[in-house]
Amino acid sequence: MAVTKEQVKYIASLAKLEIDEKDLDAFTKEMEQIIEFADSLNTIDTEGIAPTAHIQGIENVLRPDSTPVQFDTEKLLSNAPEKVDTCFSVPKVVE
Amino acid sequence: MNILGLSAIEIAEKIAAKELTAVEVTRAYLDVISQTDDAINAWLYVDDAYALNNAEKVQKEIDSLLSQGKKLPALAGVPVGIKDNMCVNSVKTTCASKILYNFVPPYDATAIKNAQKNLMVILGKTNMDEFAMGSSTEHSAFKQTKNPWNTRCVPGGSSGGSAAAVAALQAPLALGSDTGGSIRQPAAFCGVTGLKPTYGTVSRYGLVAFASSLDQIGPFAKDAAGCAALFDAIKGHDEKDSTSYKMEYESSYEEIDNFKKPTIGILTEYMGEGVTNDIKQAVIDAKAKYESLGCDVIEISIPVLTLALPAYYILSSAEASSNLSRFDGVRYGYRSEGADDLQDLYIRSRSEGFGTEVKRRIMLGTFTLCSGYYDEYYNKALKARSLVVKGYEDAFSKVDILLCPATPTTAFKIGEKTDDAMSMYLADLCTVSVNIAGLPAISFPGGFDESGLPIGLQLIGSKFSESLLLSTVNAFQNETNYHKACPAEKGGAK
Repeated sequence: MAVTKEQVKYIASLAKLEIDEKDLDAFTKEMEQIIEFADSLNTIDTEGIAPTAHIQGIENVLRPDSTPVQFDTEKLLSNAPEKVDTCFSVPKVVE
Repeated sequence: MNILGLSAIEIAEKIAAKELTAVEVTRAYLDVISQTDDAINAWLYVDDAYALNNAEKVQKEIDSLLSQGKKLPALAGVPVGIKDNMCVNSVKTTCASKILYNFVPPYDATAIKNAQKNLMVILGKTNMDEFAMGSSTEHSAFKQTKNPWNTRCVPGGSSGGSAAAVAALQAPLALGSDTGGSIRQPAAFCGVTGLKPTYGTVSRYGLVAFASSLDQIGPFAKDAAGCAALFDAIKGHDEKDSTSYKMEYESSYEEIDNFKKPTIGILTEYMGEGVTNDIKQAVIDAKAKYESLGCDVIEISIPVLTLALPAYYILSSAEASSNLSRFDGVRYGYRSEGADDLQDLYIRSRSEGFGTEVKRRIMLGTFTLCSGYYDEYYNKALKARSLVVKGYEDAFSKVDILLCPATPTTAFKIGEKTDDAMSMYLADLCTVSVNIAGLPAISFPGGFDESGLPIGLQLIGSKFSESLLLSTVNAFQNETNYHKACPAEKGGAK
């Protein structure tokens, strides 16, 4: 299928990405090539074939409701770009 | 003693015999890294003091076990390189991405913990394609790893640093991860042995997720015996990974000499167009070798395998788009300066932090999961996956093992495919179907092409057949010397 620049911009917005205007043409063309390649799947008959999302077919794996791993708050927060006390800090969300 | 001339198993044997110490061995490899890595760039992060300190602690435990007359783990004291997508407590783990440029994990991945329990020494972190997305390690945000056999060529990817490090004798062993060939393809390009285990045999806890239903950690070594011992060290059930199998795990290393003369099928789908003649010839030569060892070899076809590559790129990208949504500049990693509001912070941090290939995959994955395209692409790929699984099941009712090339070509030139995403994706032709079906497969050296670059062969087995794969490669390696060749001896990087 053909891919348009508008579609690429829309997909980017869903993925919280911004594609530079100057790269948009190249990106659109590449997406189109890859999706054309993916289109080759449409040549096969999958009538009556069940999808396999996971090869193990496992369902819920249950465990006791406990908290065995305790991480040190300081250590976890040491990776935070910005923090206030024991919280991650982000730009103001509500006006 | 020439430590670098020893295999991982031989090193462990000399340590157990008190002829070497973990510290001496670790120092020898650190020396090679410092002398050669300017030319190879296999490593992102090596801290000599950290590695030596670990080696000293390990040696103390070894001494204590030996003094009590106790048996050592098979790889006690042997150093190992770690692909930079596995968390090592308090050691920088970047996934070769700007978005994780400063991330220091507060915990160990289970595979790392298991290696340490087996008294192995962590040498450092190896380079990779950003978030393991790529087949050349050219998508690393930090450096370009070179192929030790020819430094104008790529080492393969995404575990290119791990493969190059083992090939260049910078480490006797390394860990990689394989989502669509990321262990087997670089092993082939660098002339080393690499195992992609059955999905669910090695815990993924602490492995930065790319495509969760396909990702699997596995070992690199010069030979099958080293891979077997390292696989034994890291595998096993882990309650922190609910997809890890709860069962009795046998030792593949103890079975390494138990060659079972399996019936082998040559997989015709990977012997056709796009595969070079040198590589096809290497498969034919290996067939003759196995026949001389008493194996029955027949040709076998699984026509649905042609669906695996498009299905793989849809499924892996879809899973990646979901997994990589966690990188938003809030809790860890790169945060863009000067964002106006929270949405802007997400968009800017992600757009500035991710490289082009990662963005491409996130975009492709987001597209195929979009309402309107979900059935046409994602669901269709899941159905193709069912057909691939069934195709392999049918094949394994006729033969024990499948033999085919690990890659369609030998290592390509740096820069050759970077402007053409599709041609890079085709480098995974012979490997992705194995991940789609969750099977184990091993890549091992099978000769050299006309320009002297290593050729990788691949054996694929049914679920949990690692011991059979490893002993079958071991039998081949007892009869050949390809796995013993060194880049320096062949005129590659010194």
